[in-house]
Amino acid sequence: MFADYFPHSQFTIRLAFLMNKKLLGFILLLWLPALVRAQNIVSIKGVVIDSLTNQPLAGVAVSTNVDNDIYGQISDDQGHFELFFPQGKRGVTFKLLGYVPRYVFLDQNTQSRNLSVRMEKVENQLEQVVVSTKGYDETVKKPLLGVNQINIKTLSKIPAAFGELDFLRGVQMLPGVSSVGEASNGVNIRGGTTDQNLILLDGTPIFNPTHMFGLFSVVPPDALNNLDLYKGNVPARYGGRAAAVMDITLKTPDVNQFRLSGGLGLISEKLMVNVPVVKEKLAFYVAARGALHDFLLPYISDDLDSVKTRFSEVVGKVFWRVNAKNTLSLMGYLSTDYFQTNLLANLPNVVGETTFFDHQTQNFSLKWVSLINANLDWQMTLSAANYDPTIGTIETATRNKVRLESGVYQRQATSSLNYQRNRQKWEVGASFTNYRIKPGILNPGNSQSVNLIVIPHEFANEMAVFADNEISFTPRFAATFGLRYSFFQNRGPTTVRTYQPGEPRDEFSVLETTRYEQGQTTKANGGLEPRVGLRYAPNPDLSFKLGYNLMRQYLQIVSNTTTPIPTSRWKTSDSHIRPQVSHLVTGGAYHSFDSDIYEVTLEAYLRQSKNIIDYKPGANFLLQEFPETQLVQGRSQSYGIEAMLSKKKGNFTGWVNYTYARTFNQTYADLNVLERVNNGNRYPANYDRPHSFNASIDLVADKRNSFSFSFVYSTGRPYTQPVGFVEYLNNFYPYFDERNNQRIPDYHRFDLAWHIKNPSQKENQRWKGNWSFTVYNLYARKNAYSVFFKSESGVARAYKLQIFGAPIIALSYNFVFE
Amino acid sequence: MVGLILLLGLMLAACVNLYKVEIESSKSYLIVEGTVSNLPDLQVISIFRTKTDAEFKSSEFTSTIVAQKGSSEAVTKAKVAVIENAQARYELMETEPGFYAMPPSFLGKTGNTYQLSVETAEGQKYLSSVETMSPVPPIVRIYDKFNAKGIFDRSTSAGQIATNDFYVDFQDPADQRNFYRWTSTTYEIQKICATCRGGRYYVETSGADCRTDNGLSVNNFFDYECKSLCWDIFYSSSLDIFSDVYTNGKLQKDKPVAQIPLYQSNPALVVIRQMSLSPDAYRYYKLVQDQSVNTGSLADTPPAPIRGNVSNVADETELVLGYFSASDVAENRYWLERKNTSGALPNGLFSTKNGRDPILEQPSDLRSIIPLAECLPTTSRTPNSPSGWRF
Repeated sequence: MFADYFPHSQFTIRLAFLMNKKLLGFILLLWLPALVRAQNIVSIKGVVIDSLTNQPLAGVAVSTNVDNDIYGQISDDQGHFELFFPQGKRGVTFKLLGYVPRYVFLDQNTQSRNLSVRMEKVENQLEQVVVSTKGYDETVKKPLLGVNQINIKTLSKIPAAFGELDFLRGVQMLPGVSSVGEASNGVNIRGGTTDQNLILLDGTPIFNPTHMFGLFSVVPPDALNNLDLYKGNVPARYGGRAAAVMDITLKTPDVNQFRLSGGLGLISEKLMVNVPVVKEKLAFYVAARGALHDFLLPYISDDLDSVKTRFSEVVGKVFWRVNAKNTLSLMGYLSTDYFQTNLLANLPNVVGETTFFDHQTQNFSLKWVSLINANLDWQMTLSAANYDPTIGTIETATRNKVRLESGVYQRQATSSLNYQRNRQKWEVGASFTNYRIKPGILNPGNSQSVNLIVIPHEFANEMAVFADNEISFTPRFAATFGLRYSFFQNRGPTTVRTYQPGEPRDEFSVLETTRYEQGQTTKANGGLEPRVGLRYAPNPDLSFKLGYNLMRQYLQIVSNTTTPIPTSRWKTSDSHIRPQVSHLVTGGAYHSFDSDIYEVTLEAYLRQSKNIIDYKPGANFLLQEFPETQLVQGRSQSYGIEAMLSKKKGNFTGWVNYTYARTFNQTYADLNVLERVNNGNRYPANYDRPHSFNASIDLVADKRNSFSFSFVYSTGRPYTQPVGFVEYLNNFYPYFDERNNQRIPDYHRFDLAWHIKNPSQKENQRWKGNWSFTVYNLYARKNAYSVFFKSESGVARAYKLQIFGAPIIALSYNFVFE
Repeated sequence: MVGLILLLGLMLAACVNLYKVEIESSKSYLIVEGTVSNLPDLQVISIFRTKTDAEFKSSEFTSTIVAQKGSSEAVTKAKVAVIENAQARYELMETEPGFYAMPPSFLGKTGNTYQLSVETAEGQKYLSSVETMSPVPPIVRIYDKFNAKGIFDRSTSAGQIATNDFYVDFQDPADQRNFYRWTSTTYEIQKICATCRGGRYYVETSGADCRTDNGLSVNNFFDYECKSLCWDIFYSSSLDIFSDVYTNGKLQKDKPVAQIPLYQSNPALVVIRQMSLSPDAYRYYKLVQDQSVNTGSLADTPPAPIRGNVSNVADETELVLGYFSASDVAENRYWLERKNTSGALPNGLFSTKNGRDPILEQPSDLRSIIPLAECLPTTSRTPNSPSGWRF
């Protein structure tokens, strides 16, 4: 059996590592008994459940130590595990973030047996758990760097603007994650643009992570289970984006218990129902959230009269345990948004007075997990993601809506084998992705004034094979090796222009136009993406890590605004737009002390990206058939240091962190002088904020009351200040020179939340209600979102735009009935 | 579902506040600006240069940044010419420092190309790109609507002022790409032609002017009525442009083109010009608009240097501001009766602008006959009745 040979291969790696022949012989001797004993294998199997809710717990690290050799496994979606190890006197550990570890002791003669393990939530012991920078479990000793696993419980404690759990605001409390401001449509991770982050919802990509232009993050919060943020080492199974990965997993439907939960907030309502259909076999849930209160806005302020904004979303999941070895899960997520405001630019060159945005998301995935044996499983995922944004204008006289509709459609099939044994873990797999992009259709509706304009669709395929290997050479030294090969084809039907080299790409420099038919490849790109992480731990409380990552990105947003708007155009790499390639080198030191109550981490990174997208002055991507005429490419360099201290246990938990980070962009020197941005000199990126400091504290007062505080500070982001003003065209206009030559005022904010658990004080009742009282921006700091200049009847003025100029006080009520 | 919402405060409304800046220019730029057209107007090209040490500061109370004397200086004694179809050369005459006028006989023609050539007194040579005067369709319909909310006009004492909003319909030609720009010029009757502060108005053979009177407080104002009919001229400061990229060949309806402030209830003459632009001129104006008019949204386009179409022959990288364009113009001279308005006074132009009624000097022992003031022609005032004025 393969498994039997495995210790030998592990052995040879150890051999190469030690390179000491005397020691080698010694170790060989030491190993012999282990090999002999390994033949007498026992197993324990069973299920891990939450002590209070009886819900099965997924992701529990089950492990035991055999002569410094760790045998481990992670429980599946239904809390099941089966662990094989050599017979002997053993202690088996069960660990899960947020839960008190459990130990099961086995004596010398224990035979294989079944176990049901109940784990108690840490918070039920009046303790809190915060974000962990380690893997699921310390004993697994993940050599990955820059991985933050965020428990949704932790996110829900962070005071949010409208009393609602918001993962994008939550991750901004972590070092290395920032944004251009409160209305930003995404986050910037370690100097990456918002579209360089791969945001996955149960394996399906999210193209627009926010509702209401950045005010809310997507997905009904009740259905969220976990969020893994990979900002350093990214496993090779992820690909297609150049900066970071946010992998959001949804809860698995509970096959045993009916549960109804919901909440009422200031702006939105939510409801979730979990229904077990066949006990232990089949269950589903549906979770929905809606914000439809915009009719109230004019009562709050006259200024809001023209604002209309609403969204609704629903996520559903079905889980079917086909048999002991096979499970199927089906996920669907739908959302729709409508946004009408005078704060956004209108659809130019269509006569009308009101501008609106709407967008719909439809994501589906089907996942089949098959357990081949205790160490090997196979997964197959089919997914589809559709994103359909529209910008429109309402014509004055007829009220007819002229719509500019666009869309991104992704279909993906991924299959992988996971092999896990002793000190090694393997994942090998392949994926195929098909993209179709609808760059824009101007739909005149009933308009007599506007033409129907259709920009041809874009087609592309992306194929990838990947392998990840996680290995601990010695208890002190471990590594991950990942390798991905991605291959991207831009395909017909399409028309490709060739331009005169060295000249600006425009209509006048076109040399020839080539027509490609359906199925023909217009341009192929590809390459290897190595990912390496090393970990050295001189003692159990201290570790050092080093990582290198290469990521390639073939699909990106082309936009000329400070933050992408929902309708920003997605564009595949093609004959003119080269794929973005990013190299990231990371190093870090991690120290925990006081029995793991405190943890100090220090990470540093350097990132070099090539072929980043910039736009020419005056670029316009709306209904542009040849976007290469509007953009230029360049390079970007980011570097930073992130320091974080966290207290992870006790009634008082939380973290403080400080980040120094810089990001500079520069267009390529071979561009024509008229096309270079900032004369070809490097300039700080829009989201370059050198200093940031975040503090998040959670204080448990008693069984019912807890308080959370957060404080945020960051350097103001750059903006472009004019270098002078001139009088002409009967007005007074600013003129500009260097890009991003000034900074807006520094940003800081203090928030608090007061959570009251089950105020009726009765234990064990089926209905549990929680109140949350939050104040966002407590001391009413008028933080600038942007500084801009306006020419108005002969004079110019400078303004600052504030999104939240006052404290936002919200009270929300959440309940669970089960 | 049981629940409750408690709403103590919500400021979803993004608020906009003034922001103080102090900007010091470190470079000097040439500004070349002007349009040749098919109208029998005086056609003027202006050439200025910004000063390197100019300072721009938000003012203490209004936070406005205004043009300061000396922030740019006229480029005088330059040799300026417009070349038509790469053949005919029209030399321009400097009428005022920095202003160069086309020969009065010049009339632009659609389809012809125009190029501006400037040679400064120091010998630097500048050339504009070759601009083609493309045709513009006529205005099919024009109408105005009263807008009680109006606009913010800082030239008035009240600030916010009601307007008459102008809309046009036009038929976009199907066989060509078209780019448009609209401007408006308003002629308002002005009754008061001079104001003396701490003095009195005297008319003499050498000229008419205020003369300081030590018997009067420096804060004493006397206003003097016009001797003849007199019109104040107002030019639109907004930048209204349009491209037919989405609407080629279609009848465009209700395109807003001007907002004329309701300074007084008297009828006014509003000259609406619908002008053609070249694609590059449109792009240029669009950039100016994006960077200084369409700003303040949640997702602005970060500004960048705007390159005009005039460049230094010897150094292409020199940034020259402004644009030389050639436009075919369709003009509509609109008699704005203002019968649809409310809230304005007859002959109220002076008081709307100055925030007080005119104080006419009364006959006194000093002089029994109060002189009437001259209506001195400037770019913003004329004693000559504009064509289309109804008496």
